[in-house]
Amino acid sequence: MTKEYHQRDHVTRKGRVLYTSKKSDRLDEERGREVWTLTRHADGRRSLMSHGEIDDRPSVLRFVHVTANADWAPIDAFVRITVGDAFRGSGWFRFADGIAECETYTALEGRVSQRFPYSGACPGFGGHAIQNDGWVCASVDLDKPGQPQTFTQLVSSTDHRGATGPYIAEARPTVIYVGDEKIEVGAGTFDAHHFQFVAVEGLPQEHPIYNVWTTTDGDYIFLKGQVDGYMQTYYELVELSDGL
Amino acid sequence: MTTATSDKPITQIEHTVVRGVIAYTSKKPERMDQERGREFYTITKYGWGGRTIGVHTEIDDRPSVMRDATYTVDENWMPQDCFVRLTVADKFMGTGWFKFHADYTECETFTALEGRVSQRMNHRHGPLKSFQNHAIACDSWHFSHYDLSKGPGQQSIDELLLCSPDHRGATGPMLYPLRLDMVYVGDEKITVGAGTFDAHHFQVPTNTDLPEEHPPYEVYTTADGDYTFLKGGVAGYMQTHYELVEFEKTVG
Repeated sequence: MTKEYHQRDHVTRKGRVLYTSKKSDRLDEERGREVWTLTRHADGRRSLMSHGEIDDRPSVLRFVHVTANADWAPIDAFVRITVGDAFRGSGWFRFADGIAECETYTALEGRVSQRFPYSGACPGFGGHAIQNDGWVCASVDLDKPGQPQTFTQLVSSTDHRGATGPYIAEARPTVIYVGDEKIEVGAGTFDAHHFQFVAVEGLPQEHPIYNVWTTTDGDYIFLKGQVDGYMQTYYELVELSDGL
Repeated sequence: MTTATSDKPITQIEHTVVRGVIAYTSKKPERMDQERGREFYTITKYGWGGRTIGVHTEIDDRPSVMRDATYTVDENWMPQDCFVRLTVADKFMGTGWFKFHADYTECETFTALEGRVSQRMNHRHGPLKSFQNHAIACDSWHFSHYDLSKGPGQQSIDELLLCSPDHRGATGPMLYPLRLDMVYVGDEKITVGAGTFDAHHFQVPTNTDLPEEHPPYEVYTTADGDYTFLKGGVAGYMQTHYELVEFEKTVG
């Protein structure tokens, strides 16, 4: 009887990421958190809905939706940010063959419509959700371990905390696929891909080295990550469940 | 940057966060109490009183409907902006963004049926009071515009905009105008899966302004000023029931 009425062709997963500091004066102190839902459709499309909170003053609150096709090319996205508990921006992105468009309203720039051309499918999109960072790793060729790989990504902000815009900007991360290992995080023990972001071109301020571990199950779920340098931030998946 | 100043703590938490889960069940005799969908949401209430909800909805009834929405209202429950993304029968249906200005609402959308559409709709009754994004958790927010000081009775929102006139919200997303009648029945204490709450009891009478007449809709919300959806049900051909089964305050 259930099948007669019901249609569940998709899979839903839900996760929670904890943000902590690795600075010596606030070691392991909680400094934010993120809850996300991931939907994987039968044709391979994936949608991510994320709510992130960075408590560090000025606080950053962010709602992010990103949908990518089976080849991880983004289809559309939405980003809404609050900085210092005040509205900063709300923007919608659509990624068509050859062009991205953004319709946004921000506290600083007002109402803006952007068109951003490229060749073929959109190469990737970063909306600054930590789980979205895991998806960025899907652009890395796993057949080239140890080799620096540079690729183009569109991003909603060039600020390290994603606290500007949202609007379309271009960044070129260089990432090394380090290899696979089994790791333990708050959410459990996982087989993981280990990536290292060694540089990001296109940002106004140099981004410190960023190590990221994701699942190897094809969903590129962010398991843990750490940013070095002046940031000294650490992120870890502490809850993961199937269904809502 | 995380540098602390001498007079301010290094962190800033002026907002509160609540998360909830609403279960969708059927009240049809042949599938009584059968689960037919669910909704998971996060609401951020800012220090200045505005709030944003991010909500993921799944209706399992064939053809299935999946909806992601993020909707913001100000401290007076007036709509600010909204994002809606729709999947029907596991296929892309549409993605759209709504921005509410003082005199008009704009919609930028891309749908499987209509393609890329830009809409602009002037308000006929001043700033828009409420927007129907079809998340159950937001159905209760309409009633924040009922003047409770006048007691039980019927009041109306002269102009409501919807992202879809379909009863399940399974078209568009695109703008559709509507008048909304609201009946305030009274207050009572009720128990739902998430606990026992003091509740306002509201009704939306049969709405004949939609392409298909919508049956009466009973809605119970919290009485604490947050208008949190507690339970509700649609009569007529739908026979659907919605109930808050999980609710937690996580930050603030």
